[in-house]
Amino acid sequence: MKRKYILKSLPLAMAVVSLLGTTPVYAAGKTLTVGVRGDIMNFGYYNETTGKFYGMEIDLANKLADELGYSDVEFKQVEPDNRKDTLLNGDVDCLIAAYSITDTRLENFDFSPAYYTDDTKIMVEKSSQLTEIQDLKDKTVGTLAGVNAGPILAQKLEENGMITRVLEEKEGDYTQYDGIRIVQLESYDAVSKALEEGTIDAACMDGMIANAYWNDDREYIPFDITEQSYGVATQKDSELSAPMAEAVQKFLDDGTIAALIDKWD
Amino acid sequence: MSKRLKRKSIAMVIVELIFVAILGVFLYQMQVNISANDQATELQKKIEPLRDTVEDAKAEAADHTESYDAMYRAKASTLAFFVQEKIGADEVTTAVMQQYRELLNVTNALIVEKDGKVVAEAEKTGADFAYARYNQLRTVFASGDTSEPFEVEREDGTFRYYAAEIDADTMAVIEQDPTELETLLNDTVTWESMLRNISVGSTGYAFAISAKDYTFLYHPDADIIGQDALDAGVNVEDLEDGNKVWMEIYGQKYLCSIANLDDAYVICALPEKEIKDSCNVTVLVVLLVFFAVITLLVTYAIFILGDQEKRKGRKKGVQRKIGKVYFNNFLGAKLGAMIVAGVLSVFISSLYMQQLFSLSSKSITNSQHIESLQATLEKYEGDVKMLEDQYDTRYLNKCRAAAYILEERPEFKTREDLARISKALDVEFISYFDATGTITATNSNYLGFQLSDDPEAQSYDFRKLLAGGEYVIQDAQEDEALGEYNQYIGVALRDDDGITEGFVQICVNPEKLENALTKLQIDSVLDGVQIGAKGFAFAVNKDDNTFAYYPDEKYMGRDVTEYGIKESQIHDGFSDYLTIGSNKYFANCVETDKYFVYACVPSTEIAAHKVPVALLSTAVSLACLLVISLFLCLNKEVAEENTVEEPDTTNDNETSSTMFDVTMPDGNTKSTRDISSRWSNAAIRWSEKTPEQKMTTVLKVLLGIYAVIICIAYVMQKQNPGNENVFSYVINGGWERGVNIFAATGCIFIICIVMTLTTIVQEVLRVLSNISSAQGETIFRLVSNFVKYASAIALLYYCFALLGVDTATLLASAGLLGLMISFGAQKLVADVLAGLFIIFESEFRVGDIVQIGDWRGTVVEIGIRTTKIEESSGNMKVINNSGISGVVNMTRQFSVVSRDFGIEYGESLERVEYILQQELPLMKERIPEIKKGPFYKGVTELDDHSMNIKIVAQCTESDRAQLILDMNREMKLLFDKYGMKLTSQQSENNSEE
Repeated sequence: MKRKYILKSLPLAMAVVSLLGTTPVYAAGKTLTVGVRGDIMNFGYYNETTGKFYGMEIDLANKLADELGYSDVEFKQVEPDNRKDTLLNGDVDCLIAAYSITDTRLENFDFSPAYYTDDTKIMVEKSSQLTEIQDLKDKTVGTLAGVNAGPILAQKLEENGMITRVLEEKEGDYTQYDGIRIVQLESYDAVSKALEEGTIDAACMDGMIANAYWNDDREYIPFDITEQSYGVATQKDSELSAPMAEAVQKFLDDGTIAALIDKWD
Repeated sequence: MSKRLKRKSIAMVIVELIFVAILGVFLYQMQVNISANDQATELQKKIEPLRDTVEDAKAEAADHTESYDAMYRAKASTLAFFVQEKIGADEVTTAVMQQYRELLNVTNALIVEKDGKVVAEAEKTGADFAYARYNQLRTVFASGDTSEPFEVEREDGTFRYYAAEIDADTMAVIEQDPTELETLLNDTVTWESMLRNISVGSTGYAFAISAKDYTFLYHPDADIIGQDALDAGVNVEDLEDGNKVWMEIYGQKYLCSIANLDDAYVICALPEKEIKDSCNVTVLVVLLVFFAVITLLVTYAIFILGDQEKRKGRKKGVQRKIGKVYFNNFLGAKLGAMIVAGVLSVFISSLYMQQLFSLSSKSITNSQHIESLQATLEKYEGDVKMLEDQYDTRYLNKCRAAAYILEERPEFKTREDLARISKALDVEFISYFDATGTITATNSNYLGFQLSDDPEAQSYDFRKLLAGGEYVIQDAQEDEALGEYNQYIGVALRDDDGITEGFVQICVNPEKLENALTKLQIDSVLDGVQIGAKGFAFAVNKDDNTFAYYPDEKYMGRDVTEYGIKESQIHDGFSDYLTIGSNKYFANCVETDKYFVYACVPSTEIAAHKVPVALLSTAVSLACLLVISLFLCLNKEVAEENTVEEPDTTNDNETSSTMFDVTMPDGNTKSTRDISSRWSNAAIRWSEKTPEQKMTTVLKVLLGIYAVIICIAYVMQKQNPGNENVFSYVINGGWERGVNIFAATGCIFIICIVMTLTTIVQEVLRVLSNISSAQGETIFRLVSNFVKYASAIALLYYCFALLGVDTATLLASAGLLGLMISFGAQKLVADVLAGLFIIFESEFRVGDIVQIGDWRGTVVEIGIRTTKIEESSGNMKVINNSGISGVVNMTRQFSVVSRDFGIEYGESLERVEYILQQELPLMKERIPEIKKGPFYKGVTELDDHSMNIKIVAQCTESDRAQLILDMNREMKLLFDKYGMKLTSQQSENNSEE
């Protein structure tokens, strides 16, 4: 706070300080707007009663803003469907929203180094007696709309020889491959519910999300799909990109991120 | 008081307050630290057993679920059996399925093909059995056994599914609403059922937070369950297994210990307030004692210094020069004695308070604990009934199914078929009794068994069925024939006309019920109860005073008195020490239907840090006292030698009027109060008091302050009755009457209050008597006297009662009254009665001049037992009231002095009378004490040698004695003057007017 007053009252000093790298010009006294998830317990979770966000990504966002010299942080809840546009339109300064680093996304955005690595998991009901990946042949798998888990799963299954990557039909909410049908559902809750009722036979989700929906009657099918690396996304070539990447790297090096993960584990 | 001394006293008061503050802060810090450490360890010990609790609860839940599932799996196989054997119908239609559903008492009964197509159903199902979700059902085709149960939550509800194979393509499916199971599980394995019985301190509790979404899974406040814990102020970092940490929950600070169990964090939380409260009370009392000690010390020293100034010069050599300063030897010696006494009292009060506090809090905790145990036991008694009913219903249902099968298919009354049915129904065996009560078909070894005619026999019960009873459910018992533990259930079979043609009896193994019931027995309730770190609970049978449960098995079933528990200690509400074996415990007892349940804590657990804390506080207070004493004793110069200030001379005079020095038997000189002032109604003036008397006054004031504090605390306590603490515990008297610390505390309270009240009442009476008439004063003095005795007797009685003496008998016969009489209290009673009569009959009043026997004087006080009379010479006569008789009350405005003077017969009486007429008025002028007279009254006697004349004069009683002498003298001078002679004959008589 003290630093800020000095900056306000002494514009001359501002240049000096920013040269020293402690507080960049763009951050001084401003609010960092961060796109976060509101539905992932322990990562980005919105509590309706308090109207506050909780989770590892929230803590990370706060620490990053502090590190970068922002005076305040504002959180905007984003969904997998709309997070891309939100950042492109500049509604948020960055995304810290379980956003995995992929080649296609790298074309549009700058990513910080990955702060969290997660597996994609396939979850089934024990009562379905499905225990290995081969059992999923001709079954229905549910994923969340807007995430890339579905295509990646299809790709992996194809590599595995279980399905041929022939797109038989694509109708509204599902994609029928030869050998598997992948249903896209609007929320994780819906995926879980469909799994419970049996309308889908397996659910494919990111590990940390699957963990939140796991219970004694469910189990994971051992299958290596992909590792997702979450990074902080910023607009391509924005002035925030480099310092953000540095700050994340710094937190990775000094154990701040490890501590946060441990805290919310 | 000199200016120097005034300055010094003000400085001392400030120093005193500073020291009290220092000691307060120091003690408080130390106490809080020690208790927080203690409590943290305690909490840690408390949370560890929770892991087992959770394990046990899980095992119990598994048991419940297993027995529930076993029943429904049997139903599935029964359904399969019905369909296979076409019982009741050849074709399975919806109507038939509905009939089966009724019979089996299930939510829905279905027949489903392997691929999931529903062949028949009692009710439309919401399930699509084609989904892989229902693959579990299809396992029956491979295993041949019933399927493992699973639960599906759908839009139309939650259902549990069971299947049994009918043939290679079809299976019987039971769709069951598992509400009953959930209710059962809710009672046993919810966080609430596990945590609600855990007491942490007296106001702390255990709660659980989900490790998944950080909501409260359980909290004693039902409104909080489901709320967000992070919101409430819980820090995620703190939630680690094995953590001990301060947490803030909804703005209140708690000391918490955390365990991560089963996807949840279980937290034992003890409010900071409780930890601090415990310290507050102890610290406060020790501080009060210290304050009293230091105040007495300072005031005493100041009084002595003041006294020394006043008596300057009288006591030489009290100052000794040490370097540049002077040390007051006299004061030093006195203060030294006070320091010893003071430090000792701080030590004792510190020990005492800690003991009191820990005992009371243990007692409160214990009683809360056993109250919850009591609630659990009572609930379990209900649960046992419920569970038995539940199992009875289940078994009856099986028996009905068996009866149904045999009614529909009488040809199944063969050993093989009954064995098949037994298997499908999951019962031990099935027997068919004909109308004569003989087993005609069974898959057991009882073929040909006949029901007994003996009402005592086990099988007699089933005769009811032949007499028109519908069903019989026997309690599980040792089988008379086999010696196995079995339960028999029978259902009557009727023909179409309703005539009983026989009955079906099934035999089940009640192992599951037994299992479930043992969980509800007292041992399983008390087993694992943790009270503090090493405390436990045990139970005593009401009927025979044997241990119903004790953690050490060798005690169970033994007589409690063998192990040192006394009969008097076995009652509801007991709260005191007791001995079991060689160990001493502090225990509380509560009564249930069958047992006395005790919660006890080893005495070694109570206030373990007692001595160190007491020693430390003593050391600190000693240091404070020494420092302040040094301040008081040291002087820069010997002030007495050179002070200009002269002590007030009038002061000195007044001092000598009531106070003077006496030499004690041991040679010491002490100041004492003049006899005439001791009973006088006027209070001694402050300045006349000796330092010791001033101290007594200060002590009384302190006592008064404490009494006021106690009263205020009492009123506050009454206004918030919910707040349980050491004070309320002592006041509410939930402790055992006997010689213990609570009784002692109660006595101290009551003594403090009553003494203060007595003093106040006496003071008020004194003031009142000052403004009232003589009659009033007599009454006030009597009342004051009465109050003194009454309060003393009441105190004695009350304290005896607190200390557990049976006061009723004490008063009634062999006790106090008997003692009183035997020790000559008869006299006492006589005195008291006489005293009352003196007052009511107004024989005399305070201030009257009376003559009792040959003792004449002014009445100073009429007591309840004695009367005090002051002679004109100033001596005090104390007369027992009963000894007062023949009182001559001579209270008048004026006393009369009457003198007889003998005159020789040779004198002319006329001359004498003439001279007297001339001289008597002159005599009055010479003797101013004479109020009236003197008068010449005449000749009283003419005896052998002289004629006696009488002269009387009126004066005040106090002048009477002197007047006699003066008149004698005047008369002698008068007679001499006129040359007359007086004979030796003269007499005094003042009773005449």
